[in-house]
Amino acid sequence: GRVENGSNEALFSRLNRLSLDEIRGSSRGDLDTDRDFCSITSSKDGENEERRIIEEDNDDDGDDDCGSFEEVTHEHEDEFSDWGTLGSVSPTPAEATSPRSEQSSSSPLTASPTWRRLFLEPSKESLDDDKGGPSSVSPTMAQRAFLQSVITVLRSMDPPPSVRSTEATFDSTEGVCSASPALTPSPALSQSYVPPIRDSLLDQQFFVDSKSVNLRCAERGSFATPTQGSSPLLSRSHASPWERSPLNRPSVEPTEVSFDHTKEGSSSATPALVSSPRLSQSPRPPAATWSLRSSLLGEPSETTGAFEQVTTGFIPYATSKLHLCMDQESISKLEGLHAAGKHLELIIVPTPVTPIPATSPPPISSCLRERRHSPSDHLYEGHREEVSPYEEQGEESSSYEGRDEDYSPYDERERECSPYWERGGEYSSYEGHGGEEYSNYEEYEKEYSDDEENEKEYSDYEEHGEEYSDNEESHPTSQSAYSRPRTVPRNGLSSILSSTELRQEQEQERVSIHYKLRLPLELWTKICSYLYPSQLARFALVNKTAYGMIASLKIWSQWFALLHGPTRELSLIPGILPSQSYMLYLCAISFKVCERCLKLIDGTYRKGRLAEMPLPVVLDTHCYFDEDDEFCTRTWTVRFCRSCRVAHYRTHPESLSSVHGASYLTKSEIREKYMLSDNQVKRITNRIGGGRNSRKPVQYNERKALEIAREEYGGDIGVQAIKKSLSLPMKYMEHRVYIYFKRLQVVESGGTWWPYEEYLIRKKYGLLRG
Amino acid sequence: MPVTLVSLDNENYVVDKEVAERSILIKNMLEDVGETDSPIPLPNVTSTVLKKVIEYCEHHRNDPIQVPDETDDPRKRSNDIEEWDMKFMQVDQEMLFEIILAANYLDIKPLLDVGCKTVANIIKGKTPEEIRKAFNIVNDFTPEEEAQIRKENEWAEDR
Repeated sequence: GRVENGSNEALFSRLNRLSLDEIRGSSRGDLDTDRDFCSITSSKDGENEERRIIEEDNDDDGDDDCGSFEEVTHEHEDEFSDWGTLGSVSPTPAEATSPRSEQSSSSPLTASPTWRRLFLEPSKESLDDDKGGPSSVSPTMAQRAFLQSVITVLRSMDPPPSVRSTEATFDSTEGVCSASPALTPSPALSQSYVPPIRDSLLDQQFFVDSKSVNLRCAERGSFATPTQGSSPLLSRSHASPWERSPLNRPSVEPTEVSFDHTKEGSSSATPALVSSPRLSQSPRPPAATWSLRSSLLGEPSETTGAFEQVTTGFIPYATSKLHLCMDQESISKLEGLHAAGKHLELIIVPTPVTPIPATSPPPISSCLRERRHSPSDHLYEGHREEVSPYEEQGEESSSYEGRDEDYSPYDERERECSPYWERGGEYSSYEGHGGEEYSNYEEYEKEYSDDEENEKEYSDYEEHGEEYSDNEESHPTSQSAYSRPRTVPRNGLSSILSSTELRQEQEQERVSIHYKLRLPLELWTKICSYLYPSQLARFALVNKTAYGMIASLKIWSQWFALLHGPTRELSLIPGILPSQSYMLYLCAISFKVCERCLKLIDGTYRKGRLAEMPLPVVLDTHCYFDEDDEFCTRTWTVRFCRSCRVAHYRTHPESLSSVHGASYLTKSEIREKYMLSDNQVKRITNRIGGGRNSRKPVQYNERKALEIAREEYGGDIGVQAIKKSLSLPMKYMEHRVYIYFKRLQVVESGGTWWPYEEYLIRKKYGLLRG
Repeated sequence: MPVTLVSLDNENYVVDKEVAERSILIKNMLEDVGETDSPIPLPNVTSTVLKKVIEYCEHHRNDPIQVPDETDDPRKRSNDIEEWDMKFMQVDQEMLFEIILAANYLDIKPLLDVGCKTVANIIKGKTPEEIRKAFNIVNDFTPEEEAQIRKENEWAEDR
């Protein structure tokens, strides 16, 4: 039922108890079957607590719609332990590996059909169930009831009187954002379902909260969450100084809007970092200009400004964030226009980095002009101001940083939540394809700890994970770790502390990415289609642009599907590109990947048979530029599984040296040395001894045995691997898989995954903890 | 019917229509314009590159239109370069990139494929440092970043 405004806290307290009980039930049943994911992230830092409810849905239409709902509320500390319960809702690989990072990198405001079903079209049963209490509801109904309760509370709240909302639409194809007249005051945002405007996937909507100058965008036809100002509870944790004290309003109010291009048609907006006047302090020149203007007929009134920074990525794969810088006058003007209900347009005008040389118009008819620029040229120009998505990882983490104060220290969560290996369902399911040998992580851990070489690294990462997100104040964005120029001295503390300044300097010197690689990215993508996975992974080390390009290739997810089947999904690391998560995971399991047939080779059942696993096969080297080039003498290898090696050996037989022809071995020696079966040994026609009167056993020519062994095991590399154990490389691979999921866990918990060396330095100087 | 192509530096090249139409761009232009004696300007292609492109088109003037096989993994076809094409691509790196760009602009898919395969084959087997050296690419990773990415992107054979 509805609740009076004065009793919000009491209601939330009740709501929390209700919801947690219900969601406990949901975590056992409903989420498994419906493939919905629901998690609550809660923290307590004395004043602010956050409950975050995310409902995700894998809808059938495959357009990756997602829905989310975010709210700040109070809750008791003892309820925090439930986070672990919910956080570990991943009992099956399907749930455990739902593409959360895709959704996290997409709009938190976008709505899925499930979301709409829950919030906009609550069934009668769900409402009834709400009255009935948690014990009498089914998990699905409980979830719905809880969410419906939250909506009810939100609807009952009075918004701050000064908050107004504006709805805008953004046509990214045209680069123009047009806004419709203002909506009703703020709670309307939480209630207003905006029907789809166009069918185009690129249509997006922006919700402008003029009070906080917060541009929010949601997917077309989506349900907008309450704005910052609209919810007193939200304001408590996120409100800017300006919102808290109108008299203390800073002159420049930055607004952050993020455009998520990871999926067509999706976009996301992070809460505005209104309290951070960093935009006004930035010495960087504007990377693009924007204008927000009223285009009501006959009354043009324009408010212009500049984007402090356009952090762009490899559109359409990367996430882009645009920071709007708006002064007080502009805010007032916007409010005035907004109050008058005038039409608003957001026009984004990228500032070209390099002048485009003008070409004289061709004499041929104008119809040719259209074709003068190929599609790739368009892309080519569109990337002038973009940086690698890898850097954007850091940008994105700034939004994490902004929310850090609402998160509890990681350690606290670590203690209360289930440890990583308690998510055994998820991990062991991944290990399942790796083999039963290590399906139990603890067993693996025990075995792995015997490896002295890796012990240090392993233990470091263990602590790494525990201490990760604890340091809130010394939490520069992870961007800093990826953006420092090479001139940074590696003297630890100073390099880290100065990284932000250096990064800004470096950004000033940023040049268009395609110049770094001398070809448009589209062409590089085509070139990369001729490269094997290991070559791609190596090419990514060339520079940041190459890394960003390769990390954004869709082929990684396609390979993952080939390796694991179309039904299996990977738990994606939030804050980085989905394709980058796939790349990291594939690199981690590369030991078992055949690069030719793209099959996952499971050597578990053939212990000691490294020959079964993919092994490096020497392929041809081409000389193009200079016959005397040192590279011409270089061979290159690709890892082929046994069957691919055998096929390759048939077409590329290896020569036998004269050494191999001299000796003769007995059958047992042949079998032991070359692992040949009786039938294979019988194929060796060149033999001596073994006559009726001979006391010596039959001896077989080793040269022929070697030939047969090469045919069977795919060349000499296969023969050499016969007796080698695969346990050590398998352990190493599984450690890398563990690191992947550790990183996933840390980032999902709101922490930052430091690069290993930076982690060590931070640890040394005590910068991991606040 | 001969077609006149005009390069960026205003050099005219008269080629057979059959040769010129190896470029989808020019083919569409000619279809749109119809019978015309007007020279076709190619403002994005220099004369040296255009000369090479015309040489390629002359050699492949009778080739059937390539039907891409989407199911086939291009990785397996990276070495499928004809001997003539391989020799044709034995140019300096600057010219190689110019040819690729021109092929992309003129929409000559077979030439673009050969160019991309050539670059891919140059990359194969090289270490990141060698790739940087081969393509004059500046490494903008910090040592820490490079170490981290090397660790993350390490393929099994690199160990």
